[in-house]
Amino acid sequence: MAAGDVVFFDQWLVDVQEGVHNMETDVIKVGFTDGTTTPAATTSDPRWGAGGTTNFSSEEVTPGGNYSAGGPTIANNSVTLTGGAGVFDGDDISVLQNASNPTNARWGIIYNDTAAGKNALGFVDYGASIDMSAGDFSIAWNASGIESMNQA
Amino acid sequence: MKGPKTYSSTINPNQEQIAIRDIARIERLNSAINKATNSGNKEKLEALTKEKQRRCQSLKALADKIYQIIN
Repeated sequence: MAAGDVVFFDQWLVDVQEGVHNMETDVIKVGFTDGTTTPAATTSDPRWGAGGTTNFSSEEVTPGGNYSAGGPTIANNSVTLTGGAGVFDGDDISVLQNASNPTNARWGIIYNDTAAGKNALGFVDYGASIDMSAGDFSIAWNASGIESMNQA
Repeated sequence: MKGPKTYSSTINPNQEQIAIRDIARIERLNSAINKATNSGNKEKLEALTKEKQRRCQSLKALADKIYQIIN
């Protein structure tokens, strides 16, 4: 994987078909983890909290400065039909530099903060451990969006 | 059905990468704005419109900067 790569969990394929996620109206967040666990598409029942098999919130970086517990929200999330594909997109993520920011952000776990089980959708690879006390941190989602689905 | 297809994002993008993203995001925001308009979701419509304005202003600032350099 490379820095910036986004991967959705296999579990999401089940969750989205069971109505766990409304990716347009639910609050979708990106929680930053310290890299204790390397997420993979196959990670078992990933959550941002208890109730599943893998609880990424227990590996959250220490909140402080401009990083609040639970991580930033993907604001203005939308699902639109674009060129025959249902595209999930949202505002980019930004954490401005602050001396009290976490210093060891390695992965971004995209999860549903509205869902009772805080089910995770996917993750972003930061490429390396990021020290956000030393500079601003931002994620610009791909021009094509965060994720899409189309007919085979 | 095929999916999900995910795309690589950019960590700490430069100005050019931000501009490319701005243009694509504005196009998608237009679709989302139409959807919010049709559903009568005023709160969402307002938020999406503000984000579109912010992106447009970002592009305009970049265009102004390029114009100054050229001239």
